[in-house]
Amino acid sequence: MSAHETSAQHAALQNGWPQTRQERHWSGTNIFGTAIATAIATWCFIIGGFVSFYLAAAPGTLAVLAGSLIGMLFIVLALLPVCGKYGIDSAVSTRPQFGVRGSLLSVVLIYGSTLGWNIILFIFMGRATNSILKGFGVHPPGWVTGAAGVAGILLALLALRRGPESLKDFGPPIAVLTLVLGVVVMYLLVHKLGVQKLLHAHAVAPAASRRVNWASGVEVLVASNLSWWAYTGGIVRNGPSARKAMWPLITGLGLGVGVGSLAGFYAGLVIPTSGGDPTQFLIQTGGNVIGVILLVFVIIADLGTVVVGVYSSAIGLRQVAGVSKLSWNATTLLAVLPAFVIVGIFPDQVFDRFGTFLAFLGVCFGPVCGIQIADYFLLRRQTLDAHGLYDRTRAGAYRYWAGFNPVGFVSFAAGVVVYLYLLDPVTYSSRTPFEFLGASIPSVFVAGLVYYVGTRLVLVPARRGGYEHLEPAGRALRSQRRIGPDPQPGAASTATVPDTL
Amino acid sequence: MNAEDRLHRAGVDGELDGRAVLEHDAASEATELARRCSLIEELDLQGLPLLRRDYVTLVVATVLIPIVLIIVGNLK
Repeated sequence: MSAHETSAQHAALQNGWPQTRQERHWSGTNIFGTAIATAIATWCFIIGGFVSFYLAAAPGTLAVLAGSLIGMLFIVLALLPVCGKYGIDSAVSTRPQFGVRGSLLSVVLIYGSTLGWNIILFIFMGRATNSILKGFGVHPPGWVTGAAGVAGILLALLALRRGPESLKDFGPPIAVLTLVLGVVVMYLLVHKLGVQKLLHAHAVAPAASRRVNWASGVEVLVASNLSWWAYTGGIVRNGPSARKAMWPLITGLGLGVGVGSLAGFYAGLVIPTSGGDPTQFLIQTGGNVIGVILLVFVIIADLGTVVVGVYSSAIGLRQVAGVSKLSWNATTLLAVLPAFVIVGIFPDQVFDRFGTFLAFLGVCFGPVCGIQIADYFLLRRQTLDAHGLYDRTRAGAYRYWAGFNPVGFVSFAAGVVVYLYLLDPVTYSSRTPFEFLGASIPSVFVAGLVYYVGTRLVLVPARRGGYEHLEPAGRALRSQRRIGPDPQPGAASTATVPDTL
Repeated sequence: MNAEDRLHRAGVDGELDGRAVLEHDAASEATELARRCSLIEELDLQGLPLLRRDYVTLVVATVLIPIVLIIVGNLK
């Protein structure tokens, strides 16, 4: 490969441009490794811990696995066909639905979700530090958690100073470390407390309705897995075949979180005050020496994960026009700027609202998936205008109105409203039919339905968004006549303007 | 500034002294983007798609199996 070709491919990778099949070299194993490295981190403990509020061990295990798989249905349908076909990332794949400028919404969502996960991990590091000090007999003041979390942010920035290139292989060893941690935690729990205690443990704070508990347990995993929307396009576009990417995605991202969450789920059941958070029980169950060693592992694993997370967030931000002019270090600082305040001042309050963050993921990414699925499969016949994805001129296929597609935004809002109606993300109180369908699934369907109807009623008649193929035949032919060449007087009709009209 | 904007600017400002190199880069980036867009519309250069049987197995794995898991869990 020549230097020019290498440079061109590098530019394509960094900017989210299409990659041809011949340029993509990731095997199914590569995709699986990256997917599982993305999914498995210490956040799995608190995802599982959240399920322990609603369900006991046996039903909870099944709910965790079911929710993991359901979430992946929408991720796979929304992104795998389009990103696999055109070699583009998640954010670019939304330009046909939100417009070439409106797709900034997806960049904001990616930024919000990666920032949220990073903040959770920074606070994790602070809580682990706090527990380590307690293991040494020190009783740290309350501000230590926030201060240690901020120190974690600074360490992540320091690790990223040399640039992004050296960080690409961080993921797999961190995933292995976290998996080992999960196995050790499960062993400690079983060894210390016994299987019987685990099997007979009750849910920590169940709702009155058995169906609501089930729906809540499944919903936690569906929403968690919907957040992989932000990462999936970037993974899929490196593989030459969507077929070879499907199972690595389902098992790596989907079941990876599901299985990874079980340790936190069981811990949440047998140590109800922990919420699945290992920083709150490792000293208690492992003793001072083993507990402190494991907590150091937690910090190392978290640091590795947040470095990759901040890197992803920074790459996403560089898609924004103004940010792309900043230096790399300034971009990484921007990627974590809100974390300084949130982690430093409100670590415990934010950590306690983890459920709200999970709901935010479902609120935001569910509607996006629904809109993309309806558009790509039902309206566009699985074909995009590749030039239109990057064309901001008036002639661009996805220009709509000033670069924004109002139908996309109204559909997104409809999906958000449906989610919020079914499940209050602050109080976690729910309304019927949440107990039968959860909140994310109806949100996906309503957003997709509104987009479909809105496109038929607004975009097709207005001839915006490259939906000309959906126009009634007579109208399409009349418009072809309008834009076709003027026929010579007395000449026969051209091929595009049949004389039947 | 993204490549599309750079192309536009390269066209407008390309003759200004002292900025020729930058705008040459911008123009070549935009040319590369346009080339890629043309290439990716060719069937042979696109990623291989999912087949009908892949969609069937996807539905089995992400719809039917979860339904079975939920039913089994509720039997207890």
